[in-house]
Amino acid sequence: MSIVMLLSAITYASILAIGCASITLLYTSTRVFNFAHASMVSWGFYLTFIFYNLFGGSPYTYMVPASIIVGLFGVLTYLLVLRKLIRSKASEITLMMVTLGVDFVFFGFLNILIDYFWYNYKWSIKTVNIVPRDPLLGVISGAPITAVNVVAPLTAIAILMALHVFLSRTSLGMAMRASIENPVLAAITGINVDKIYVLAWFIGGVLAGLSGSLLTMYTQGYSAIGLDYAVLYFAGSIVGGLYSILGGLLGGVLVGFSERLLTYYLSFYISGIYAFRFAIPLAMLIATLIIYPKGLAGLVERR
Amino acid sequence: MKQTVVLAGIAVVAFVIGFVVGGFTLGVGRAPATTVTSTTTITITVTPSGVATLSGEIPIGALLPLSGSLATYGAQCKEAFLLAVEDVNKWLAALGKPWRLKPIVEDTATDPTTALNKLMTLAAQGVKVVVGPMASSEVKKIKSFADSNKILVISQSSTSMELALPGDFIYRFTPPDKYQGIAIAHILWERGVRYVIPIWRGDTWGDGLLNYTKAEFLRLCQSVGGGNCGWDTGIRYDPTATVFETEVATLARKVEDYVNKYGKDKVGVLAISFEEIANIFDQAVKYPILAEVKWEGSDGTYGTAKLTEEPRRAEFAIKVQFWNTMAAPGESPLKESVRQRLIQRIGQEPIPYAYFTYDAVWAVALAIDHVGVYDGEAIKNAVPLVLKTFIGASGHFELDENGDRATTDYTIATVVKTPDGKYVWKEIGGYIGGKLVIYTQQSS
Repeated sequence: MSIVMLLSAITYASILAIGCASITLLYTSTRVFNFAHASMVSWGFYLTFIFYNLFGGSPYTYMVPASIIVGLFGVLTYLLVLRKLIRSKASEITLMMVTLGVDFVFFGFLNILIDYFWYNYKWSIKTVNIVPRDPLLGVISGAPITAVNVVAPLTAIAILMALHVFLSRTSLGMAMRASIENPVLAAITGINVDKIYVLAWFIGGVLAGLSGSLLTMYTQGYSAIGLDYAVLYFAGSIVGGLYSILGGLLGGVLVGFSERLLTYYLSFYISGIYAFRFAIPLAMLIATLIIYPKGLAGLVERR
Repeated sequence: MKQTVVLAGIAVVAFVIGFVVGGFTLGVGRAPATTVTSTTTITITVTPSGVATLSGEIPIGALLPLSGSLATYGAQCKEAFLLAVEDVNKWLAALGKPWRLKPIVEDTATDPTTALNKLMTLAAQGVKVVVGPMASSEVKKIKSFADSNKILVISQSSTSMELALPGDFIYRFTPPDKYQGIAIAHILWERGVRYVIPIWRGDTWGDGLLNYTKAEFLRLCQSVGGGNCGWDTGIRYDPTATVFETEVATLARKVEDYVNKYGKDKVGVLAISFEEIANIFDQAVKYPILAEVKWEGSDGTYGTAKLTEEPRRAEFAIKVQFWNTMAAPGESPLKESVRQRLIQRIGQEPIPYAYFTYDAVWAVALAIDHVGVYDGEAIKNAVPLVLKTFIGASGHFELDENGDRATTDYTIATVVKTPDGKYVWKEIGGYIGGKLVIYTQQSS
């Protein structure tokens, strides 16, 4: 086992897991399969880069502001587009397709922002790559450990713990769970379901933005980077079960690990496997839907 | 909910299948079946009927990769294009001619589909001659439209042998990869490399250059008995890829195997790549074994700023002696003047493709002036005749039967560190007249 490859797979899987948790949270809470996720990730990616280029310092400093801004995008998506549709009992398919439109809007505005810096400041921003600037923390058996190798897994673990504490130990979290499980009953007991949904979209946006922000230190990207990874995010969420945030996180980890490590090991036997690496998460997605639609979370729940 | 999950899954699957099929088709598709009428007789066919005579502004298009994986080249060639148009217009003014060139530059983003869309945009504006695009995959994509609409396309850098076809509306002011492949194979051999592990773009250009290099290297190998030398199956990567962890991990594993068997001095990596070489290097620096062997590049990575702007990559390039070839401009009394003015504009040493771009504009202008009409077919027929007496910034050259530059000399450049700590590209030698010539030491 190559240590470099293992470290990379852990990092990659952690970044995916955070994004998968976003999709799962929004589906669980508002029954919206958020196709705008792709552009939210791209926004997180680019906001981190823009802040870094404007103010310097460590790119990690800008993870929080970038994620919060994307979180606000989530709130706007809910308030301006989805709330009315949810109240009018729009079908889940309708809600899903509407977010596809929102995705185009976000994508368009992101490209306007990129063009602004491209034309006015001559930034090399159409393709962003600050991976070489990620600080080197140490070397293990000849394998360099960069900051993202540490930050990404720790962030994923912190989010897992924070969400667990929030949903099981705080009154707001319990109110959210109640609203998710039975919104009518929750409303009768005095819970402001609308506020809970706003909160869910904020957290979902933050997680998508955070995943994109971490990608800035992990890989080269352009305005459609979220779209490039969308398949993996959705596959992770579906493999995870789509109705458990923990499942979403686990699904993301599994998809990320398998895509990287299976491709690596298969390359020993199939020389042209690289162009088909997406087939691995896709196969997992199809298998999950056919064999056990409840996904990983369903397996955990059954036990 | 289960139904929604299934529907969502189907939507994602459909999306991915479309994406993968589209990407695969783009990257590894075969050449379209083409019926080519081969003729070595150049017939000047001027069709002035319905075509306005020369006056006012005549549009000349440039399809350049101002973004994407050839952005460094695109930026240089854009300046060379605009400089040439300025010079042509001054010449026209001095002669009292009633027409001027009007430059229209479009960004192809190094993407074949974008290149085609931009060519259609130029065609709608009445453009009959286009300089660029630069990537062979882009030229391949626009070829059919250019041929059917009689738009002359002059690529300054497309080298794929798949596009070496007579009689079409594509001229290439750089020699095709048959010659570069020979040059790279000989350079590898002269450097002492006996076992080559290639990593290359899986597209028209990458596959072609790899195959020509491999054939020549194996021929050299056979010429000494066929033992103690070889060519690995290597790593063919998706040309749209931006992440190379798996590919480079596999490369490291292969290199380690070869080094253990044959020693590091006899093992080399051939990287046939565009600017994604930066991403490959970002991963390669993590594997010490990859810094132990020599690396060889091609015209796809010659002079790319991506390797000099980041110290980690530049140091790796220096350590592995990353040599890159590009078609060499010939000797010319004009070269130094053009070079100095280009350096003023771009702030660095121009790559040969910048000179080829400059010459393409001049050749077109002279052809237009020669035939007296702005017509793609007439200009296409006139250009080879113009070139017979043409001395441009890249010297005198002519086109072969396929409309490609008929020269076989290559220049070699690598990354060096200057005394003031900067990383720059430096020309260190060439493959001239079938021999490797080293001008200076690699590092200064």
